[in-house]
Amino acid sequence: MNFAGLLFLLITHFITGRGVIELFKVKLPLLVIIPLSFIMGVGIVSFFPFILALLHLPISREVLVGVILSATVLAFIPLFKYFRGSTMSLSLQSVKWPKIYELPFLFVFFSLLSLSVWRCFYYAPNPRDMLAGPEAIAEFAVREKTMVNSIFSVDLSTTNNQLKPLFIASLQVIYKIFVQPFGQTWLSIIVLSFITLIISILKQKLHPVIVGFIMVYFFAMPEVFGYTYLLLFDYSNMIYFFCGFYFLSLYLSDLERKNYFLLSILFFSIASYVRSETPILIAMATPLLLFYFLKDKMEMKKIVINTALFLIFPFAVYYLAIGVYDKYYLPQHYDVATEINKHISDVSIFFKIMGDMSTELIFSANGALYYGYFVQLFVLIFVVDLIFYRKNSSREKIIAIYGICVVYVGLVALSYIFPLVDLMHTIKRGLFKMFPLMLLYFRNSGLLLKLTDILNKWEYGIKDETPRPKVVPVGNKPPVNMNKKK
Amino acid sequence: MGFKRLILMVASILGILIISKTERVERWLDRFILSPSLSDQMERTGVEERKEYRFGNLYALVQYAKKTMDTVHTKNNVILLPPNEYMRSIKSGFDFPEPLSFYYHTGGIKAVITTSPNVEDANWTFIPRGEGSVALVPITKEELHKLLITYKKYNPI
Repeated sequence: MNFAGLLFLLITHFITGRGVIELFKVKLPLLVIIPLSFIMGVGIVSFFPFILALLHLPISREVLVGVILSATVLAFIPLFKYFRGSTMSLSLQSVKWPKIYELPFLFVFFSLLSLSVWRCFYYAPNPRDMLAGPEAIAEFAVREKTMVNSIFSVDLSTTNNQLKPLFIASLQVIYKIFVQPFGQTWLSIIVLSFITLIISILKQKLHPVIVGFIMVYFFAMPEVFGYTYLLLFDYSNMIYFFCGFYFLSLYLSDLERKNYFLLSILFFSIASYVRSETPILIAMATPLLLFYFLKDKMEMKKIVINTALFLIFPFAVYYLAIGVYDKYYLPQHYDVATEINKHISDVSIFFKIMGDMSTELIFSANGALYYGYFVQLFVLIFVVDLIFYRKNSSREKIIAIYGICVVYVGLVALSYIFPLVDLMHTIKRGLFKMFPLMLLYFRNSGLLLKLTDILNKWEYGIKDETPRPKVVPVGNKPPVNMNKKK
Repeated sequence: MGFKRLILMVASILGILIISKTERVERWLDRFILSPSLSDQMERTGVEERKEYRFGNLYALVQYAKKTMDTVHTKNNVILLPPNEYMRSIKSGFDFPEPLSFYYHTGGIKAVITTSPNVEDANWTFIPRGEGSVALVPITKEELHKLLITYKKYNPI
């Protein structure tokens, strides 16, 4: 393991990501900004070998050092203002030490994440989709300095994984060259960042004990936890898709924050680069956008422009990764049209897939092995909210529910159109995208907010008439006054 | 406030313990978290050792194929991979990866399966030698065609 190489990548990822985040003038707590920077940094860097391939440039250590350093220097420009100003010290003040009752949870999370990081380092990439696809491309790209390498001279009739976007192959090339022969450690970076991000976001509104218990259930999803150290597309896709939805929810909660809208588009574009079916799910989020645009009486011209921006960028990334690269660069071509369901007029297939998804995948003995109790926990809280806290419907909560529906229905629709999207592989892991959105729902759940209120009152010994501690503000929103009677 | 936080800490510990004892979580911990043993892994941290640990039989097979091919001085060697269904039917204990995975594992040795478009290029194959053993042997066109007939009824991969 080359620690110097890892350190070089960690620093450059962070600066690149932080610079891009700063370009969008994101004002969020430091424990949200730092993980977001790493997630963004890894996402941006993953494009470099792909771009080198598009430009027919050699993918060597020297070229990659040059490109990564150039990007880091460029990204540092918007950061000048930040470091020179007083915002840094202000941000640092917003970081709070964990309280004593958070320690048991932190111990559990630390233990599980340490194991995940170890396995990510230790295990050689094994999933079939990787060995007959991105991992093989990356391995020979390191030797032959090109993504279009000798693997295309092998019999590829048994796989189409070599035609998938180069997100994983690109990161594997970089990490094989700079860190270790198995690459893969980039996965730990985005996993650790994502867990930090999600805990920080939840703690903005919920009591840390509640956050702790929710996260224990989140960790205890065997299938999801497994992919924190097994190389595949879905965990990364889930992270970027969630970040897109998170910033979309911040934007739709306050349409003045156009910067968050643009940032959500960037995250969605990266998600589309990770998994090529993501643009379809993004397109399915458009009605939500239009609904709030019309509700908030946005000008028609702006509605058209925003909707176009929202759709064009993820589709452009998809087109570049599949339409251009596969078609004009690879010796082997793939016509996605050949995979379309031959019985598309038979709508009963759609409902059958939807039924199978619930009975065979989610609420079944297998479902327990895949997702633990997390979905049941969500259903329970959702039903309680529906019965007792219907009035408590923040915009973020509705967006989270809509997002969950998009993933659920979207995967069924994808499987209906493309039978290759099968239940026990693609859908099983595609559902990962739903779980962080459930967490986003939890932080707006009437039940959990009420429990938070009760715990805060008890912990701080506050009676109803005295002011309560303020919740850390989200983005540019004013602090939430918890004393306000609902 | 300090005492209340202590109570919350005890409640958190109890809550975690209760969750860890629920059926699904306990099964997950036993199957996927507490095993495989970390100490076993710590003793074998070299790249090749980790590959061996991860790929088991396949690693041995790949090493054998690499060694054999290193001693061969002919060019354009292509290995016919017998169908796994066939290998299982004779209880060989070996499963072959698909051609691209084989190319990856061996660092550049080409292979084909029975339905590959270029199956006629195959001039080597794995022959089972009893339970848990295979041999990599050169084959003539005639032998290849005989093998293809034998393997015809099996799923190619």
